Amino acid sequence: MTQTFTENDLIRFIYKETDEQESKLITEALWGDSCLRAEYGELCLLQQTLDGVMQSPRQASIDRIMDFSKSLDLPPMLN
Amino acid sequence: MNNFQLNDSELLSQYKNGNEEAFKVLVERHSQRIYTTIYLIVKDQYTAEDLMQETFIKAIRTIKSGSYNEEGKFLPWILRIAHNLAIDHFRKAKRYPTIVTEDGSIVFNNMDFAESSHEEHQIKRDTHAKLRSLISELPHAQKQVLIMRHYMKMSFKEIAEATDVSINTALGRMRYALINLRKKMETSDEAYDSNFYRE
Repeated sequence: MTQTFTENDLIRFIYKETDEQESKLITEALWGDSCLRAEYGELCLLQQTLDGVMQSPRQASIDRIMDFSKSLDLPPMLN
Repeated sequence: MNNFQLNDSELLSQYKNGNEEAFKVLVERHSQRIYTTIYLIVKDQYTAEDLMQETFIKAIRTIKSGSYNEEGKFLPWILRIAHNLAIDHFRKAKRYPTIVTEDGSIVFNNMDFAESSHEEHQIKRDTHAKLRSLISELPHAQKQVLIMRHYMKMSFKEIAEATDVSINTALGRMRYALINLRKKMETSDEAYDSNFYRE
């Protein structure tokens, strides 16, 4: 199969930045190319692993933010 | 419909009208991403928490004073505040020497990560720690794009504009960052793909 997109396009596809036509072409290529599919799978796996690096602040920090918000007593805005 | 089903724009609208619970949902929805973005830059838990609070305080003041005008784009807006505060922190403290690349973009040069103390599973904790360490070893420009795209959720177009490079350059840096991380994971002692998702 002739590849009609670049490696950069695959990155855009993984991060959901390709348009409908580009996504269709890449999806079709993935179905027909096991190597490309493996590459895509590896990148998706890594992407999920990167999400695992996310950390949470302590609840006390969240509470202090909410306390500040409640203490800032401005009149409700009119939309 | 309860607050958790509302989008950011709807929650902000309610908050502007005095609904503090709506803002609490926004804080809980985004605090992890904001905290991580700051933490990846300052690499200190307490500093990151202080700066996260400062970020939200700035946001609260802006919203409650009626100055907020980015309807529907709350997360990118508050992430920009967080990112700027984190960078400013190190500039003021002179602990974050700014490195400017040939194209004029500022790159991160100080990324390391503390161990998370509340992960439930040892395998995941080890994998996360290993990955944080590997991210810190990436070339600066790749690290910058990785943080901006993956944790700050900026588009490649926005990253290209912010760092004054072409979209293809930003994409290339991201691609190499992912390739490098994958290679490093594969060659490290820990087989991340076989262990990480074990429940």
